[in-house]
Amino acid sequence: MKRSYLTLGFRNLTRRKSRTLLTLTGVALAIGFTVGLLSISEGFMKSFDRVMGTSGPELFVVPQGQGKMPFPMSMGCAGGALEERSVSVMGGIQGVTMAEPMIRMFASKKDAPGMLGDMPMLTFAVPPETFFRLRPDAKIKHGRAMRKSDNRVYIAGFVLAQNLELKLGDSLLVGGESFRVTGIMDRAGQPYDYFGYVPLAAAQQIRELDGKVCGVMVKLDNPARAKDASRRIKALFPKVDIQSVEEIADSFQDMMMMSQAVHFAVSCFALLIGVLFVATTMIMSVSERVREFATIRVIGASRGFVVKMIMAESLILSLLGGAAGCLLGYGLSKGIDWLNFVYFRESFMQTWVSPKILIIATAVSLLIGTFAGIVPALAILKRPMAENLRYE
Amino acid sequence: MAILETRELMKTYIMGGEPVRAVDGISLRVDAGDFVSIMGPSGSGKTTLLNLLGCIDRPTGGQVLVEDRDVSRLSNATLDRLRLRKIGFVFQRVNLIPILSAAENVELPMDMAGVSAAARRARALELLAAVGLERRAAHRPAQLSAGEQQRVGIARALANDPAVILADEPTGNLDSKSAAGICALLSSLNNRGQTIIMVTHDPEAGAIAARRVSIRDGRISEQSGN
Repeated sequence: MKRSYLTLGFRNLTRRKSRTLLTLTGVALAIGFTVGLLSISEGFMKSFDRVMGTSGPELFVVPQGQGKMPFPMSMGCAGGALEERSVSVMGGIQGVTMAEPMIRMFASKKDAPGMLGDMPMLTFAVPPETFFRLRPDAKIKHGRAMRKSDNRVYIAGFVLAQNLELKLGDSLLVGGESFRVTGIMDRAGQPYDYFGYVPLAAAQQIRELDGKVCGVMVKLDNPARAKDASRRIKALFPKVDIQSVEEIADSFQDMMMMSQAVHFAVSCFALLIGVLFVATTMIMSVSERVREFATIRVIGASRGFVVKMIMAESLILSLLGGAAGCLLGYGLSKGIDWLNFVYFRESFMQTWVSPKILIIATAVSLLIGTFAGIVPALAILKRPMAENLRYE
Repeated sequence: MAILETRELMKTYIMGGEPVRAVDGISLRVDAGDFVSIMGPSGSGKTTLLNLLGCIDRPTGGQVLVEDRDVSRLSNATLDRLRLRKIGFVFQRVNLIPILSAAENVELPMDMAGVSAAARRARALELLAAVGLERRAAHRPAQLSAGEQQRVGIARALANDPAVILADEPTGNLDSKSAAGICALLSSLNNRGQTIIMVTHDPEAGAIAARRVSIRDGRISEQSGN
C-alpha cells in the first residue's frame, strides 16, 4: 500500500517534466532567496555572539547625552567629553580592575583595495601604556607597539592591515592628519583584529580635547557583578551613562530583530510565490486526472489512499524544491560573502546558513507541500465517483 | 447463492428541478457463474444500474445485496473494501494508469489489498499470461494497442479474485477484431466459473452472455436466456 502512492506520486511528476522542472525552480528560488536572506542576519548574530564571548571590557562609560547609541558609536564625544582625570578615579572603584580612556576616531587610506579607498575604518585612541593590559592576547606581528612618547603612529589590527594591504611605514589619514603605520598585530580572533589604534594624546590634539576623553572602557574583577560596579561609578559620576556588554548586546539584538523582521517579510512574499507555484501545479495535475482518480477509487482505493497519493506528489515536489532551495541559498550566502570580500575584504560579518535556517526551510517546504496538496485532494474527493468516471 | 441482487432498486436524479428516475424499480438476481448482459439504448439507465451494482453510487430506493448482504447503508470505507475484494471493474475506456506498466496496473488492486510484493507480481504475471500478454508486462499503456489495453484492464479486474466482474461497454472503443477477442476472453472466464455482468449496446457482444436483460427508461423491458 505504501509503495503504490509513493510510486504514483513520484512518477506523476515525470509526466510533465517541463512543468515539474518549472515548479521546482520556482520553489527553489523562493526557498533559496529566503535561506540567503536569513543567512545574513544569522551570520551577523553569530559574529556578534563570538565578539561578546571574547574577553573584553564589561562596562562602557560615556558622557550623558549620547542617546541610545551603542558602543563604539557612543565613544565619539557627540554629546560632550569626560575629564581624563576621572579615569584614574574609576580605576580605583571597588570591583574595577582597570579603566581605559578612549576617543573613537576614523582612519582612511586613499589607495586601499576594492571599495575600501577612503572608507572610514574604526580607530581607537588609547593610552599606549594600557593597551596590552586590556588586550592580553594581543601580539605585535610586524613592527613595534605604541610607546608613551609616540604621537602620529598607527597600530593596525591583523584583519584591518590585511584588508587595507598595510605595510610598515604606510600612511593613513586619521582626523585629517597623517599617521604612520609602525605596528601590525597578529590575528587574535578578537574584535580588535578589525580596528586600528593611535595614541590617546595624538587624538586629543587633533580633536582639541586636552585633558578630556570620549569614553572609558572598564574591566571588572567579577563580570557577574557589573550592576554593582555600574551603581558605584554612577554614584561618583552622576553625569555619565554606563552601558554594559549585555545592554549593548540587547540593543544589537533589537536592531537585528528589525532586520530579521524585514527579511522575514520579504521571505514570506517569496514563500507565497512558492506556494502558488506548487498549488497551481497540483491543481492542474489533479484536474487533468479526474477520471484516473475515479478509477483508482472505483477499483477499491480508500479516500485516504487518494489523499496520500496527491500529498506524496505535492510533498515530493516541495521537498525536492526545498532541498534545491537550500543548496541555492547556501550558494547565495557564499556569493554574498564573496562579493563582500571583493569589495570590503575580510569582514566582521560573514553569512551563516545555520541548522535553524535549514530546519525553517524544510518546515516551510513541508507546509508548502501540505497546503498545495490537501486542497486539490479534498476537492477531488468531494465530487461523486460516478460523475468523475465520466469526466472528459 | 446470489452474488448480486437488487430489490425494487431506484435511482432518482434532480435535473432542472425535476426528478428523473434513471433506475425505476429494478429487481434482478445474479447467481454465481452467471454471465448477464444488460442491454439498452443510450439513456436507458444501464450504466446507472451498473454503478449501483458496483457500489460506486448509492440508490435512492430499494436494495442492493452483495452475497446476500444489503450494502445500501454501509459506510463509504466498507464499500471501498467491498469493491476492492468482491468486485472487478472493466471500463469502456479501460482507464489504465498511464505511468504504470501493464504488470503494475494489475498489481495495483492487490497492493491496495495488502498482498506482498512477490505474491502480487507472480499473480500479475499469471493473469497477464491468462489474457495473452505475458510478454507485454513491462509495457506502459501507451505502448499497447486498444485491445491489449482492455486485456490488461480485464487482468486488473481479476487481480483480487472478485466474486463478480462488472464490465461497462468493454468492447465500446475497440475495432471488431479486438472486440471479438475481448468477448472470447470474457466467455472463457465465465466458462471457468467467473460471474460477469456486462453492460453493452452492441447486440453481438450482448449475445455472448447466457442471460440477456434489456432495460428501457430505467426498467427491465425484456429478459432472455437462463
